[in-house]
Amino acid sequence: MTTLNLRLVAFCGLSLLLNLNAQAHPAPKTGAEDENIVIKNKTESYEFIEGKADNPVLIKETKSTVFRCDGFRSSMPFVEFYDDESTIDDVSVYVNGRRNKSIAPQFEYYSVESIFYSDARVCYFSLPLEKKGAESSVELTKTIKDPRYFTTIYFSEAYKVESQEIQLIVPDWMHIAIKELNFEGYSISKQTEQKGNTKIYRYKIQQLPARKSESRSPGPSYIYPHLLILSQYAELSGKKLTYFNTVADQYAWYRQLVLQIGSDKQVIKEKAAEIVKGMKTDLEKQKAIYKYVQDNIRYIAFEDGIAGFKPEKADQVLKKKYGDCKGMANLTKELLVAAGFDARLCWIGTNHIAYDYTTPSLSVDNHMICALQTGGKFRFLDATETYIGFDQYAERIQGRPVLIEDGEKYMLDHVPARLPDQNTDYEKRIVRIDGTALIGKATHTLIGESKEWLLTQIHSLKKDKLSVALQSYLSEQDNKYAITDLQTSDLNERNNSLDISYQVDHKEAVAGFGNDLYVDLDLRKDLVNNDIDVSKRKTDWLFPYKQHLVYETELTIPADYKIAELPVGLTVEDPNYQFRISYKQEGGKILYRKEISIKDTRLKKAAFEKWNKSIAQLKKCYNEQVTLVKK
Amino acid sequence: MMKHVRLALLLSCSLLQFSNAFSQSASDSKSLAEEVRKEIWGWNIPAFNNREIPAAYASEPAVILARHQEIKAISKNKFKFRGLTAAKYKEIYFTNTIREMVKINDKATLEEFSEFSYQKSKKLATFFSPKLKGRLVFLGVRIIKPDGSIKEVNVDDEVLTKNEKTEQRSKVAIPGLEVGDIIDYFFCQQEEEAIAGYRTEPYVFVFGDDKPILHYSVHCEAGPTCAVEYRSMNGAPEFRVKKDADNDNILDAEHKNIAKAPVGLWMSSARQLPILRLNIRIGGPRKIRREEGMVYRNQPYQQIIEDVKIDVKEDFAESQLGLVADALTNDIKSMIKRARKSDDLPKDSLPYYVYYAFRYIAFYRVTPNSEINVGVERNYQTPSKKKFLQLLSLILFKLDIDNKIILATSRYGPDTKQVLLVDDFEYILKTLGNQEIYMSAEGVFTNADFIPAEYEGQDNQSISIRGSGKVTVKPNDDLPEKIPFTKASSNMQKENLKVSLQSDMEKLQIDRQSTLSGEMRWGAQRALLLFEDYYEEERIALSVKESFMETFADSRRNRSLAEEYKAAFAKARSEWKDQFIREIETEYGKKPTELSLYRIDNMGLRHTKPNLVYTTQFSMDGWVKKGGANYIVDIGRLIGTQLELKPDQKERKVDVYMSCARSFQYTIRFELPQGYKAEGLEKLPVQKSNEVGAFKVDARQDGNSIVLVVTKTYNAAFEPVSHWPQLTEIITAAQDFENAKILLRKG
Repeated sequence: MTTLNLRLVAFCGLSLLLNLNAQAHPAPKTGAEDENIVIKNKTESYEFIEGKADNPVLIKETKSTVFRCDGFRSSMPFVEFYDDESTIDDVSVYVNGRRNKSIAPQFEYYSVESIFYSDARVCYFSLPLEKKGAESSVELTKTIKDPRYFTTIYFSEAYKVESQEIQLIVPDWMHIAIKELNFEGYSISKQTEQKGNTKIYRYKIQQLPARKSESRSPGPSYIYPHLLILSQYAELSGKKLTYFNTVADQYAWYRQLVLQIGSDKQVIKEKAAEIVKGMKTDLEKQKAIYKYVQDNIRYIAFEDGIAGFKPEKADQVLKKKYGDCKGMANLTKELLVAAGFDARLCWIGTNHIAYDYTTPSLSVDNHMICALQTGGKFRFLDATETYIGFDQYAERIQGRPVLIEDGEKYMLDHVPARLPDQNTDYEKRIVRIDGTALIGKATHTLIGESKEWLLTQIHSLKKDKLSVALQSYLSEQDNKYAITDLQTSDLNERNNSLDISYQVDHKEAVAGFGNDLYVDLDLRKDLVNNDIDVSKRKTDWLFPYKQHLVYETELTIPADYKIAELPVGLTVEDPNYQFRISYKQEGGKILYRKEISIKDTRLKKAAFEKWNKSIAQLKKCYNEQVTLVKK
Repeated sequence: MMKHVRLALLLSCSLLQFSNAFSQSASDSKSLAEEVRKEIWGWNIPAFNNREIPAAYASEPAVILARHQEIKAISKNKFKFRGLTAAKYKEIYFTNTIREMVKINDKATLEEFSEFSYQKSKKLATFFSPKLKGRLVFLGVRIIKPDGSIKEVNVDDEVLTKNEKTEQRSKVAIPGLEVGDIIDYFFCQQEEEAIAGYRTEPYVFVFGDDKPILHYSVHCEAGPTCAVEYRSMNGAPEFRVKKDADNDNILDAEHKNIAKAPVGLWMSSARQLPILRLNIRIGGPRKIRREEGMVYRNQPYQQIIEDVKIDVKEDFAESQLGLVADALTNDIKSMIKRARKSDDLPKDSLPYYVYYAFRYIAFYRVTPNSEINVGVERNYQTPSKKKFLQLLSLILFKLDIDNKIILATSRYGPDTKQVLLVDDFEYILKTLGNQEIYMSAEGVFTNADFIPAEYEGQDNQSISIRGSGKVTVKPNDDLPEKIPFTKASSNMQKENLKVSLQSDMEKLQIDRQSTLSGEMRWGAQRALLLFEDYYEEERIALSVKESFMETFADSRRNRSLAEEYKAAFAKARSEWKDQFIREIETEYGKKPTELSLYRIDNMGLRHTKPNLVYTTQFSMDGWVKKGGANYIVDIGRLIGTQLELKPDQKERKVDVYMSCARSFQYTIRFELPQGYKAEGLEKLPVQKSNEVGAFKVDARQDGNSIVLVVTKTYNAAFEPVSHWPQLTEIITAAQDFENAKILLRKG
């Protein structure tokens, strides 16, 4: 080797030789936006074309994206999704204007931890941006095989978009409707042009901010500007191909899938009989069947193209002891029908989705449950919610429109919305002072989603740790909060409240100075850290469910003490939430009562300032203690 | 949770990889799978017929009734010569099978075993035998119901998440599985490979898991072209060894009624769990000498040191490290020359200069071809420590600084006398002669004369590397080197806080200076230092003429790079505040309500100023409570969150392996608000001291302020289990103090 080469080895090869791995421990993400890379220009066009027998109408997608480096050179991950209903036909990569054939896109299954299997696939590669000001671009063509699967066109990207154009080329034989969503506040223009036998829709967008992923955010269909494409029907070669012109069409498509299911009726009949054996009332039987599916069938998410819409045979789900939401809904329905009840399948979009059936489309629903006709109305049973009670509904489906099968016809209904009272988490402690501790008895009563949440948490832990897990949850992992003699109602019982009681020794809850005692009556201090950083947060905040907490402490005043001062308490009333804290004296006792209600799970961005003020008031109130003085 | 975790028990091996195609028909694969299942289900191991759980384990969420691992390395005795290389190669047939039977007693365990995910096949084509199948993995699963009935699961009812010629990956959901069932499953990995040269296969059998194991057995068959070595540690069973009719070596070991492994706090598995280690060397002993067909039990460590010598020599021959060392020495010579011109470099600081110069070249220097990486991720780089120190050793030698490489062992691995493999040793360099300086290579900020605490207290041999181009390595026969223990005072976290109440009487205003020394520095250095700053400090200290920014700006070709680095530096600095917020949150268990100042006062890059010192000013809420006209301050919170022992950690039956002896000191000056007097000071002092450490609190009033001095010390890194009660005493005292309060009374 020459001296020069040695130097090169020393300079460049050393890090390789030393196996330096900067990514071995990547630093935690700061959440700061990546402004280094910008999409200078993006053009997309979607054209409906005639296909062949199996897929008579295709959508040809052409997409060209130009990325620009504004800060410093780096490389970015380029990703394009597809699945069984679409193909990526060609990908061309350009770096600094020159075609780069050495960058080879990878095509793989896209896996998400919570989904067992789906047909989602991803095409990805690393795209270099060679220096500041450099541009790299990607052109790709894609085919969507069936208009039913061509549902949305989102405008926003992971990076800021300076200029974008989207074209929809619709021949006159193809009938579609376009719905524009979340356009307010963005600079978007629309043009329509009739060119011979084709209509062209053009959307131009300028200066679109990057998408930002935040926790507890509403689904993207609520936030980002996009188009909902409703393919109604096509008229080709004298034939009419109906897609989803109306809800009836969508229902008809679902129904023909459902009709294909089949099932071993005998197996189901025997199982149903076994479950309801000895039961007298209809309600008893219905609850037992629901509980059986919740207890015995494990939920595994299978989301696979056409199979993503067709439920598995009920007897197979029973045999395998696992199923996805469709399988579980179908099994619930079949068991109820076998037991003599009017049960039906329903399709529903959870609150993650902004649409309803006024826009018939596959993007409207993402879940399947079972409807049970009783007393002239429907009750809805969602067996994927393992611990929820009969006629109780998880937040994500409350108020949502449901499409219910009714033979050849369909029905539309809504899952009832519930008030926060459905989810009450009630805790009461009756305590007295012993040195610097509060000792006494505590009881909890939980119903609805607060109960379900707790049960889900503790059942996900190993059996011998169940009581430990429960203690840890109840004591808020505060080792000063000692719990003994823990008793609970049946942890497998769905329909009644979950009742817990125990003896409590809350050490260091009382501070004594001279003749004074200062007492902290609230262990939990709910929402104390729930203020929102308005400088960073971009989207509304979604609470997991409508919370209703009632927390009471009854303190016996020591005989040789009297009250020096009771805190004033707090009342915060807002149409969407309520905080009430009160202190009362009744004879020789002090009654502390806190009640928090979240009535609307969606806290809008415009309400953040007011919310933060309310939390500040709550914090201040939590910091106030009862003062007792020696008589 | 996926069962793919289980495949970690099937250790991967170093492979010869050449590109080639191979094909395997589906029906071949299927019939082979059936053969494999038939063989494994037919094993005559009585433990797999046991369905009884001892009463002691009745409330366990899961019990492993039987676990058996079978390893085969059997040669086909084909010796072939091929082409120009005339290399000998052998076809070796490997299997590695693990089968276990688990009783499922709760839902969480049901979840754990309800889905299996594994690599079904992988092409390992070799140049010599393209028709070989490569690696195949077979899965078999059976469910045994409480009534004794056995049902085999159809694992072909699978989802292929990857289905290519080179690799197949599969996911299987297990149908019909319920709490109360026993699941009996196996993974069998098979490979055929033609080995030109040599291959080594290490295995580790750990007799301890997160579930009790009633019966654990291991069976190994090694063909006559293999040499086998093993060692039993910490009371693990030994292998029974015999030869069979084909002259294969057969090794068997078993262990019964293995309780769950102890909890994770302060444990060293390698020193505390019963472990049986096995290594199979296949093929001609081109590198390390072992005799084919022999079984070596508990080789003396001196043999492993001889192996190190051969291994290092091979490394140098293959990677031309000697030449690289030459080039680096020239670079460093130029740097020394420049440093001597601008700043007198005394002779006794030469070894230090060389160390820091090499560290600079490895981690700090930037060239036009470097990837732009200036954010905090850069701080987490770790080198191949051995290569770093080998190169450094040669460079020092070339600069007439004699040195040796100490073969150290970590407290978290086998000790010197129990080593089995070359990789059990780590390196520490030590210069010899007038100045004895230790050098190690932990990462970007390692100082000269620093030894990581995990190597403390052990006797070690050393080797010396000499030469240029062709390198010689020899073990030294001098007395073993004992790595000294560090004292608690060298590994210290020192906090100096000035605290006052904000005018709203709700929040505390805290002005904090933190000084971290020794082992206590790493986390904060990595989290808080910016490359832009430490690059510049080191460059100046080494008398490097100009910064890379200046060099780039001067060059027409690289001018834009200077702009880009500027932008990258700005981005890193804009994210810097969040890093401090996270540091405060880690220390105090909650985020500050506001951070108004954050600054590094000393980076701790060199042994001359080794401490990391930084300043933060922030406010915290929730620590001041109101009682009538008075205020209660949670003054104990100012010492940060303290270790809290979980219920299952309170009782301890095993020795304690902590990271190092260490100490903490908090000096807190709390300014009383005007018009308020402090009460409750008399309750604050604590004096807890015993042979493992101490927790002390002194409290006094000084004018209008309260001054607290809190110290916590752990005297040693290792404590025998008999000292656990004393250790718990210190931990509990610190935990209790977190709840200390004072009253501010009006008037």
